Amino acid sequence: MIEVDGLRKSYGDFLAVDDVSFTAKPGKIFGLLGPNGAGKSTTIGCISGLLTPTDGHIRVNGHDVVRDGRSAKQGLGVVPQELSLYEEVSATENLLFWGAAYGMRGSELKSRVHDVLRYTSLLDRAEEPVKNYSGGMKRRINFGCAIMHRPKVLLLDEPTVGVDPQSRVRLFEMVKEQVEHGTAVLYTTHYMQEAELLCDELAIVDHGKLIADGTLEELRGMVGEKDILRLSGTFDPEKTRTALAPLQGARVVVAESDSVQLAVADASRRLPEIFEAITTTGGEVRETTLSQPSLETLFLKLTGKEMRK
Amino acid sequence: MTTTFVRHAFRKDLSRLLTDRVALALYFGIPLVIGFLILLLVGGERPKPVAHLVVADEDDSVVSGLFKTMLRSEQAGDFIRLEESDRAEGRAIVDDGGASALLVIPAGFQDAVLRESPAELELVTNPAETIKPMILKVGLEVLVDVVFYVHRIFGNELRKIVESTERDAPPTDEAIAEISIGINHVIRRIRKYASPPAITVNAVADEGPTGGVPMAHLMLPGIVLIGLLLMAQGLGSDVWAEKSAGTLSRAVSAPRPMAELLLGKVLANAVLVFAVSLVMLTIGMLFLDMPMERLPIALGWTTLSGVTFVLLFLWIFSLARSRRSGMVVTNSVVFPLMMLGGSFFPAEVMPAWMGAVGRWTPNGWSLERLKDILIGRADATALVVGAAGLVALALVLFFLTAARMRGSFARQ
Repeated sequence: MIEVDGLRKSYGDFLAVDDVSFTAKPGKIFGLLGPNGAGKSTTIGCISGLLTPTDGHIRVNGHDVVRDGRSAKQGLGVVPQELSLYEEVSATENLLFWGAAYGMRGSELKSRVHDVLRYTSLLDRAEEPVKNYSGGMKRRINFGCAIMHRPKVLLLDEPTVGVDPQSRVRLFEMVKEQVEHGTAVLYTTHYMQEAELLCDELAIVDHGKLIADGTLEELRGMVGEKDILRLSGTFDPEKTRTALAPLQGARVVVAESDSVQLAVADASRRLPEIFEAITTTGGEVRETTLSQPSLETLFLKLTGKEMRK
Repeated sequence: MTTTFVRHAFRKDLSRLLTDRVALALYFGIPLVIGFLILLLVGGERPKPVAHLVVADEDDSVVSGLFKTMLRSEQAGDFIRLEESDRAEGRAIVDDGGASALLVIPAGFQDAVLRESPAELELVTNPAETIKPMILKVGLEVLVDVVFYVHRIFGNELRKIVESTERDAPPTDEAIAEISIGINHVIRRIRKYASPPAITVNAVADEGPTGGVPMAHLMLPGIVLIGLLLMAQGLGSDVWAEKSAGTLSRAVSAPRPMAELLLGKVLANAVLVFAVSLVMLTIGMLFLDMPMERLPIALGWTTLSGVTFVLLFLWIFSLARSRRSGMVVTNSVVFPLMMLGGSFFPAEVMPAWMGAVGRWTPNGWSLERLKDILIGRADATALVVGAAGLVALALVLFFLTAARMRGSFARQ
């Protein structure tokens, strides 16, 4: 289990993580969702012991990561955002090294290397230098290195960035298999669909702050039943806001000179009156997009902007 | 500390080092190439210049024969190779550049010498050469002086010998006895001056600034140190390879201490330092005909020095803001160190102040002790104290580097 309580991390005057708290429970996937630069990797860095928190407490399996760092690290497996492998040597050498780095030894280490090679489907190319592997194979062995010591907590920092669809599916399967064995998983991503697909619980972060958290259902409930209507064209932002304000059940989220976004219930049936209101301001609609409620819409609702990548 | 992680870190880094074939070739090749070039420049025994002298003996007499015999003597033979010919052919040989000079002994030379009338030897020198004709000219002047003094002492007896050979009949017993008695009297007369010689020459060879040690022997430790420094620089940059690959930050997230990972890395580097030292020292010592029983101690010293240099560069690279800036900083350290520390020019031939400063650079300090070991003048106590100093320095650098690797360097 990971317990994060009031975590702050600052670099001089810049506050990268601001009062973030959450709990990742055993047998569950906890997603940390947010755009690049939101503070996800900094949070992971503090949990894994790479960074020292400025304030707050982090406990991994009950061990404080600052005061009892070695015990906390012993139960952690980390899958970094970038591949972190010795590419000149074989998969076997990599697994032996990272297993030993977590205190494994002797026959237990050797037998576990064999198990992980089989698990990652790399047994037949185990002695080949990793640099000869395909991108997907490298991702698998990168994951394998993190689970060598059977950690109770697994941190995955945007593990699917730049990964082909087939490898992504295999990675999801491997993560789910770990969860079935009772592992607590903290999964950071900026892909909304990935978070919706994988995570049992989620926290949305932006500019270092946690702006919403809960189960997927709880978060969807925060959006309400409203659709997101995106209009492209030419608009007068102020006049458009004024013209659309009287419409019941509609709220202007974004009004700019080339786009307008509204949260509106039953949007498809109310399009005519929306167009009419915009026409009275002299605006012109060229393109219309309608989205169902999702994490994307929640993010838009909470921050007034779309998820940046 | 667990030996398991150290062992796997060692194995991992040794495998990485061995798979980098280009770097390996450079580690072994660069010092050999530099060593070969430097030894070509300063080392090896140059052959003595031997002047090729063509002699045209137009007198063909006893005296001219004696003259040629002196030119063929053991002492003169070190500098002069004599070939007999006639004037025309001899001249042609010199003109073709086949000889340094042509000496013409003219007809009537013997008569002139015995009758103390003027005699002239003709020496035609090869204009394409400078030193060798000069050797011949000086040599001939010495011989002419010798002939003059022999004539002053034994002139009468020599004349009688020559006159006896010119008669048709062999010399009588009385004539031989008379000549012998005459020579005996002369020898008795000059013995008090000749034996023992009134003047003796004590030739003292100047040992020069190297103290009599061949220059090439002084250069070998410097060449070895060039190899070690360049290799240490390359190996030191590995902290940036670990950082760039993300393995360093991953290792910080693991519970085993960074010191164990670093120890494995240093041990793997030590194997390479040992192997390169072994090759360089063995080739150098065999080439320079140095006693091979000194190899094990020299090897121990170079390995210890090399590992210390690796740790020094690992630490410097861990302080750098980027790999490139690390290379710039270490380059600006390595080359002055090599120059000042006596790798290109031994401290013995440097200006005194520079030699003194150079001996206290890390490589210069190590080089002086390696030189003592190779030349056979190392003091055991000084060597043990020196080794203890190196170990202490290596330990300090080890803990400084480990602290950087698990600290801000990994987090930047």
